Amino acid sequence: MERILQIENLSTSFKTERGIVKAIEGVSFDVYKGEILGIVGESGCGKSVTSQSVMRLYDEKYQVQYTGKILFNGRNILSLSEKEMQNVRGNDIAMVFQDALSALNPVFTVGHQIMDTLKIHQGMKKAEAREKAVEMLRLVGIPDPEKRVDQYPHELSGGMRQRVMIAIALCCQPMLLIADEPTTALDVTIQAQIMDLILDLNKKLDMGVMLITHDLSVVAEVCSRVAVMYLGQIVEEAEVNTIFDHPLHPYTAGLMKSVPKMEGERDERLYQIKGMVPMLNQIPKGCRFSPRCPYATEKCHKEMPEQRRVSETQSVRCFYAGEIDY
Amino acid sequence: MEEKREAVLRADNIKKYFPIRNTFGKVINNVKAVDGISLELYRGETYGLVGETGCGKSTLGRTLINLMPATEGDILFEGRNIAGMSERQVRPLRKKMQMIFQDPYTSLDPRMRVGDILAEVLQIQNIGKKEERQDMVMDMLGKVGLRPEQYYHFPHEFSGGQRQRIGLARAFILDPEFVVCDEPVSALDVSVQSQIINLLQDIQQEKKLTYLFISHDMSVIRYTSDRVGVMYLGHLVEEALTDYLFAKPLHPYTQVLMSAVPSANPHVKKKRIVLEGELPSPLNPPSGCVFHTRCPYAKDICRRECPQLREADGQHKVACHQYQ
Repeated sequence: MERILQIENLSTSFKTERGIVKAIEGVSFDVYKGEILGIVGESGCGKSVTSQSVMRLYDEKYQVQYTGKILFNGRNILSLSEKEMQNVRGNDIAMVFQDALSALNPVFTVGHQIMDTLKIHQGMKKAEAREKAVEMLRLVGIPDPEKRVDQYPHELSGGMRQRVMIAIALCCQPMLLIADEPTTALDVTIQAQIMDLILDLNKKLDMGVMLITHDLSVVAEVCSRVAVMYLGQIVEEAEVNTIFDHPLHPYTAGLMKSVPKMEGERDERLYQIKGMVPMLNQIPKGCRFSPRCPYATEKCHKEMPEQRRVSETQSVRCFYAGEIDY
Repeated sequence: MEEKREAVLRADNIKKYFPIRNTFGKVINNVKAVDGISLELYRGETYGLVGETGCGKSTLGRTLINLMPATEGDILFEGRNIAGMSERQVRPLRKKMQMIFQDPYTSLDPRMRVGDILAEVLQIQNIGKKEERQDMVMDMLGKVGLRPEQYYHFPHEFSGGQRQRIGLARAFILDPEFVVCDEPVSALDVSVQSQIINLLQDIQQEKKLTYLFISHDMSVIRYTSDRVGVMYLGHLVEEALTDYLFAKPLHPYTQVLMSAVPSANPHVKKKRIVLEGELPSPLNPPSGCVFHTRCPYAKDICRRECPQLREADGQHKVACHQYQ
């Protein structure tokens, strides 16, 4: 398979009043053409920072510092000028955000906003862009697109707005779509529709999708591969079936056991991971999960484990991967 | 399961309408948030209320403990009809009915110390002297997994999960009998969610509490509840014991809802029922069965008559003409 995005040892740090905070550290993963890669983790684990770093959406003058490499089709995005980067955004990589109501501009019609993208990135004329906008709305399954194109975001339901967001993202045929919690604000029935749409478009347009989510069930349903993040690092990466059948990292296993299930016996008590996620300025020594890990040893508290490959399809950041039975 | 159990709360044909007025203050229409719901909550059980955004589940929860006056209907709590009571009349009963809110960020006063937030609850109910109240609060903080010295901290010093623990402490400090939990874990991460759910269950077992557990998350409902009610557009469309409901949903809407929930097992490939159309507005709910506009099985009668919630097969109560 063709590799479109290759992230090597990426660290993103922010300048704050209390000094420099590393939001993510040593993140490496690839996205291949036509696949859906899930990036899963809890609040503050750095999954959104990762995606926004790929788009370079942070204020680089005052706020943020990147190290490492983000190779898109072999070209390091981090060394591009802002002007070149603008060409990459939208045309090559596009993004869908969580909250469609605040991501869309309330004073312009949805058609206007799709046409803006087309005019800026593809140099289309107005009439042509409008035609394409209608076509895009139809592609994302909005009924009656000729009418909808002239409506404002507030006239659409939450699910429809998210569809418009996807239409905007896809209108320049990007090779990579980053979807940052695209269904978190939606009801389950609408979530199911949007996920089906993303799956369908992924197949139809053969693009790579990076799906950021906190919901393991969404990952199980749509992703082909998944990377689990904890406190700014990837702790495990594998194919979906592998990771759900045999999680190797204690955090991954703990997360999976904590989710209430829709099938099978109802457990007497939900599994719980003890403690809570530490603040980014109080990162523990050694393995970052060690203070909460039920299997942690002396070594875990002292040394940081490296991300290592255990099989073709699975890599993990734990000294004892494979030795623990969950 | 046909043993007669003691009902803590019985609601009869509850309606909650929000009037829409024109410029002259005349009521021109009503948002029918809750439209004729009857239910009974038994002592010691968790009744799960599930439905999508705008179905009226939160409104029902608030109406049941008279945080909002019901437009119509009776609410019997411990034998007294609390519907229509004034705030002053309800206040002594508040000790026994409490609420946990969804958003731990906005439901705590940012300018008050956590200890004062909790002590205020006791003060309003005239419980104890100042020092006694302080001891009670510290004791309560310990019970929900916080440290007594956090009495002097402000809400912003806590994480989301810890704030929800404060919310729990505020509800439980009066030793209530009935607690409405309105999406108590929806804003929380998975690992924190399981901690809070376990804590809620521990406290329930210790005190024999009755919960009304409101959530949009079917898997959380399945895990926490003994009985479940499914709401759609202000109506209760199905009610059953949790195991029966999840094993065999009867109402077409429940079936849709179940099929939409993604499974946390990648080997399970579900057959999804996709809903036609959009949720109708509660301003002008459809005639007859409120679900008929989107129901794949809708017949003539569904457009004309509103089905009542009735016993279907001994295990479910369903409001659907198919089963009547």
